[in-house]
Amino acid sequence: MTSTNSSSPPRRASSAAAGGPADAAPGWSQNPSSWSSRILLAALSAVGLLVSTYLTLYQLKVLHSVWEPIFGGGSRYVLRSSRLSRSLPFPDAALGALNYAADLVVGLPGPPDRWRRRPWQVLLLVPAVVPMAVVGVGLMILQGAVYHRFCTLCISSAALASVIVAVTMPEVLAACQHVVAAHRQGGSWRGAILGEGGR
Amino acid sequence: MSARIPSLVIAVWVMLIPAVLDESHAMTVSNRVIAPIAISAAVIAFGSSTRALRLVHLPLAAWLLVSAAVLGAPAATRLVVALTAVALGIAAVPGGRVAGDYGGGWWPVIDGLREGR
Repeated sequence: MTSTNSSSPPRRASSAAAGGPADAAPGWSQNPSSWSSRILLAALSAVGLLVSTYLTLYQLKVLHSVWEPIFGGGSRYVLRSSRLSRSLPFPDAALGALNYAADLVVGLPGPPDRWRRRPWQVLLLVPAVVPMAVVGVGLMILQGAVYHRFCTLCISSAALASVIVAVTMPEVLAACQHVVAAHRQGGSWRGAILGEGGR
Repeated sequence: MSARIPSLVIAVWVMLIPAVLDESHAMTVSNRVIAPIAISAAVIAFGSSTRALRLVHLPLAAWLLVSAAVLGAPAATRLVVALTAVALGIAAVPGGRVAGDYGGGWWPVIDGLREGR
């Protein structure tokens, strides 16, 4: 937990972060909803979407081979022969693709100060990004501890999911701080989450 | 941020131990359960607002230490795993420099939620 400035009063940041200094959260040195961080999130999600779509196409047998530079037949086994790959009525990689698409849809749009105008949208990022990281860890455990075979692109996708969590959390933190502050000032939780009075 | 690099390197090493050293099936499974959690926590803890997640490495290091004692492996492997556990634990302690200000971090949120109950 970041505890910097825990005792200092809220203040407007003076840095000219993308989105303008007026959009920085109180006590923050940058705008957590800046376009630079959102574009980074979008770029990472787009890469994840591409990787997951590629793996989905392989699982659907649209593609006949899969890129595997390190683990030999590991990807082939994990993606087509493992019990997990056959446990769902659709390719499990498609879930990853859907999740990365959701990251893009939820993570990209919104005003430059959406942490206070649309806290609900920022908070939606939590169910969009955290489960993917948890599932990624679970898949890594399955590959290493149960199958004893690995899939390079699956590992990359799992790592990407963790990076996306790290990139997303500052904005989530700012939205949480705003919601709690708005509630402390007498607003309802619902109104605070919906961003009422946050303009 | 750079304070997390040793944690990440050690977590990746935990993943590699079964491929490098001779150990029992139980220890292989143990290492390959711990390593993905440790790697993911290390990656997420690179963020200034999520660096507290590094503390997840402390119980993982404790389990590694226990596994070195109770799970089957040659003495050399046990020693390496035990040293890795100690290194993982030590690397988790320093929080590192926080880049920028984050409005007091998560504590105002936790305090507000407590008051709101």
